[in-house]
Amino acid sequence: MPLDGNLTISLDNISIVSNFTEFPEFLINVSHYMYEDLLFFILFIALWAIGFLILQSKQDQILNNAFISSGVMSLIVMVARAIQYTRAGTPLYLLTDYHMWIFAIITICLGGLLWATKEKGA
Amino acid sequence: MAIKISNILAALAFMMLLTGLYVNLYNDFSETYDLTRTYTKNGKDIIQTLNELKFIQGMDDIVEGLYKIGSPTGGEQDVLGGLTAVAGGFLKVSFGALILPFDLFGAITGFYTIPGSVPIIMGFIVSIYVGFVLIRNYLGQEN
Repeated sequence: MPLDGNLTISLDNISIVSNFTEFPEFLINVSHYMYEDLLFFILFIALWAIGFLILQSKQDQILNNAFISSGVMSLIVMVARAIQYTRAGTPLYLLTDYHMWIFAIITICLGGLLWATKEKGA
Repeated sequence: MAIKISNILAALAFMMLLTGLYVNLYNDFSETYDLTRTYTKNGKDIIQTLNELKFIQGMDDIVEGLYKIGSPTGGEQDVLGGLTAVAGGFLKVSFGALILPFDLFGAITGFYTIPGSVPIIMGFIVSIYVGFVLIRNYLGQEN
């Protein structure tokens, strides 16, 4: 699912979104029908940036902090990925695999970079 | 920022550890919550693509070999075959760890839509970088 979606708020979509029985369904509906599955991906990216900035404000270690925040976020998004429900035979998700694995891949790359550039005793 | 061969090896081991953890965690998650795999490319989803990483295949071989040793059916070939499978698995894991960045990059490009020129540029930059590290070590000017 490439990042080429557009915001699609229409009367049809609003009526679909408002037709839910549990709160997670509502969240998934909003993300799927209005933001083409991108809403929570963007929110998690923002959360990741906030985590990084909080860590950075405590200790100025860019690579370390980016790695820690992305590591924590990749676990959170994996839990978020498990939130799904089926609507009219079609499974809908809070996050797709496409978006979820971006966090894990970035964590793996940052982990490698962190160890490759580690100073002795650091 | 000094780069050492030992650091690069540690980085590869760490990347291998993280990748293995994520793949296993995701496998468990998808089984426990009965997740429907979304978005496939070339007929494969991301986990199928990642399971084709060399070191993960090597780990599978090791587990399979150990299982064969642990539960032989009576023939000594079982034990011998199991030990061979374990040894082969170790070799595959070691080789897989060395080529992990390229393997991982191949898996990512196999799943995500990346413009054709990016892998070539990245490969070029990585080759030059690794070349510089090796030359610096060879000349003894590592630090």
